[in-house]
Amino acid sequence: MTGNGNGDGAARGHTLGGPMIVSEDVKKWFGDFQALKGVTATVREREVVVVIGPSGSGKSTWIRCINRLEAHQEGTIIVDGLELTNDIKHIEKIRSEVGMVFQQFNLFPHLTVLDNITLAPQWVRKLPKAEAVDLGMELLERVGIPEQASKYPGQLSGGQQQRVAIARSLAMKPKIMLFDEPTSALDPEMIKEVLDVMKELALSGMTMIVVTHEMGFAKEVADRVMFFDYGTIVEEGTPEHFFTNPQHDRTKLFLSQIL
Amino acid sequence: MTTRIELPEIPDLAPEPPPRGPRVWLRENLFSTPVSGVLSIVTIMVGLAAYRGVLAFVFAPDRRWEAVTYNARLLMIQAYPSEQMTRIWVSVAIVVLLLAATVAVYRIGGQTTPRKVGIGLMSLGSIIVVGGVIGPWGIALSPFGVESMRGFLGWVIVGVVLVVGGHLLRTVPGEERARDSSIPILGVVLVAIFVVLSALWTVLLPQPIFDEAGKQTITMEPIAMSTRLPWTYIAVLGIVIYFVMWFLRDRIPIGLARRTLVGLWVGSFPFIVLVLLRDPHMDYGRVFTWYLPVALGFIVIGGLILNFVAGGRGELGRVIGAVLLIMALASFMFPMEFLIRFLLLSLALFAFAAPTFGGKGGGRVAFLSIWAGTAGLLTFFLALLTAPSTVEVAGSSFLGGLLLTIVLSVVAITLSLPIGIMLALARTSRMPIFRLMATTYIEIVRGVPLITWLIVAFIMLPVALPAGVEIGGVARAMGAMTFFSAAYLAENVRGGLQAIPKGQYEASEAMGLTTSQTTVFIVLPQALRAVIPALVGQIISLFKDTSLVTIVGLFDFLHIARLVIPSQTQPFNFLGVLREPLLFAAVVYWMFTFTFSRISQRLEKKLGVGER
Repeated sequence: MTGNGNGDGAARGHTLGGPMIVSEDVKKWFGDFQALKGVTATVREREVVVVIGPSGSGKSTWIRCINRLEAHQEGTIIVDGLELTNDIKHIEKIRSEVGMVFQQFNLFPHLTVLDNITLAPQWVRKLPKAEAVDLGMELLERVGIPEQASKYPGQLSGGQQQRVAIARSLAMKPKIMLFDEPTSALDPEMIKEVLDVMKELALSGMTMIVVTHEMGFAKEVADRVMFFDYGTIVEEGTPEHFFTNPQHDRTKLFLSQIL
Repeated sequence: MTTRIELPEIPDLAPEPPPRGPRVWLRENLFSTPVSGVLSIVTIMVGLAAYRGVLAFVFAPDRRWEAVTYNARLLMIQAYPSEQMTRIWVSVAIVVLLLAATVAVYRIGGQTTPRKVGIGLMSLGSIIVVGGVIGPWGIALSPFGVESMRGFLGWVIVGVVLVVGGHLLRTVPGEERARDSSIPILGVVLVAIFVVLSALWTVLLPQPIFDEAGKQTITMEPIAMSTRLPWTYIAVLGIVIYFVMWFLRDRIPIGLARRTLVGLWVGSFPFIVLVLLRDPHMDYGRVFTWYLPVALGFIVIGGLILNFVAGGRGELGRVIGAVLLIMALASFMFPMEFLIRFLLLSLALFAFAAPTFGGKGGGRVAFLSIWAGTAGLLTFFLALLTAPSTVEVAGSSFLGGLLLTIVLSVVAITLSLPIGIMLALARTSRMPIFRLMATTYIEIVRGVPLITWLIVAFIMLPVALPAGVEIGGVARAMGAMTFFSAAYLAENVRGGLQAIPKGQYEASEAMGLTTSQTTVFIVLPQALRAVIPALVGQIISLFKDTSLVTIVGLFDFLHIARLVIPSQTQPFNFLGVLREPLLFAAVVYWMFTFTFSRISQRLEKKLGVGER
């Protein structure tokens, strides 16, 4: 447990809680290719973890294992006290408590923005329609685009679409939010509006794992930075430690290439 | 000394109008290169020759169109008793009224410009003028004969009037205003209805009669009163209903109105066929002692079970569904009333759906009402189907002619769509047993011609059915066409399913939606939208394929045109008159399929296929 913020959530003035996600020696193969070679990490409640690393390093695969979009083959993942197994009940329960935001947004193109947001609360949380609509509008206010509620995703800019995707995940009132390269498919001038929403979310005390190449976001918001390479965590630590004094050669090389 | 500088006149920087006009259009579209010029000339000549050929065929003096006009009722409804014609007209009226109400409530029909309408009229007029000039009357007959002059002049006059009218409509409001101003398409439709109605009252059609010598000859008469009067009433009623609904649509809750309309559309077809046209003789004693109590029992007890299962009982709910399904399947192996079998089967399906779609509060009430409606309708239809028909017809069925063609198509299309969707889902399922079953079904059914399946349904099915169960000829044809078309539809839908990006499944599952919820809310709406063109193609082909039922002795539209009319000798002799009814049948089939195709184009545009 190298430097997980000393339990004080220094960056945002939050007190970190107990362990929320426990990943214990997680291994995953795609055919013969081993994508994860034993990932061991603990994410605590209200902690913001930024995961960086070269492409193909397994960082996306790891967070996709956390809500079972990919099934890990060895090791254990425990989310909020529930172990991820093939038990469909556990999977559905965990998925309804873990929100996920994708690189390609993955909004439902045939539904309006508001319907995109209210669908899951209505059918998974069984919220009455009126309440779901109120919740949806509240979240659209929060991400700053309430006026787009009745438009279709195809009519929005990339940044707006990603903000809708965040609102859609938040509508399930998740305890954990996973971000899989949320700004990589965006034009530069739209990245900021999405990062602002994510910062606001981090300040509100959400437990977050963010796979990103936005080093500014990592420096400013993260409690902890993890560096993935070749399917394993090579180095982790607070942003200060990580960006000023990286220990591992591969980390140094990676940072020298992107900074 | 001051010098005056002569400034050159500042050129007018207002945008120049783009080059326009017939010469520009011709150069850009027909004669852009030498090759395209040659191709254009060849195409125009072939087109004119074909046009002239059709005119020469239709207006040849020895054409016996009276074989079509005299047999119009036969072609439409075959042997439906003439004293019961009111039932047919009421059915038509129901459809027209629903159509008018739908157009009003759903605000169908946009705007068009006087310019577009004017150009349309001008094109139509030009085609008619060309027809008058190249028509057969100028050459086949003597150039100065009275008949030929009347044909020639009539066409040219009508055409010129249309061209001039179109031109006036295009230019009278002023070139600029004509481009900007708009007129509702429904106004154009209204004018068209009036034109058709007045044609119905004035146009003379050939009718066969016997002259004093008892020889068969032709007289020109307007369409019979028994036809033009009902059509006029129905058209006027439709227009009135449209304006009533147009007036009401902002004063009534629109969601409720739309749901009611959809319900009426769904209910109208079975009502028309099973109640109105079939006129069943209901045994009310049995209705009150058997059908009603059983249906109520299933609605109440089944509703309680569903309410229990929908309350999130987890494994217990699945066990209850499985027990119900086994009971339902077992009921098919023992002597049992069909009512009980079908109600048990649908209750089992509802029980499986209850945990995921049962909802809470209002959602639960909606789910339980759908169950009550399904059980009620199922009972209603079974009671109707088992009651004998009182319509006395010469043949085996009260359905025939175009009516049979339409009923066959509607039933086969509406039933094969859900079956096809389920087959497609099964074929793409993760469970190998479903995949295997669906693939086997699709490959076997697609691998054998439809005619073979029709013959199987007629010759071999009676052997396989348990004793005492009889299925009528029309129902067998419906079954064969439904299951055949389902196999093709399944492959079309599968294409749509495969076009859904993986991210859509992932996003849906990541929010905790179950597999069936993902399928119903995310995957199917997008998949079906993507395959609308293919589905409409399948529907068009199914509509035309209904003509194959002639093989098993049903009197569909084409059968009457092809076999019945040319063998008629009583009371009038139409022996061997085949070309006229066939051309008429072709035109009618085309009108239907062309309408489908246009509706599908509008649907595609409206749902925005291809513009994600």
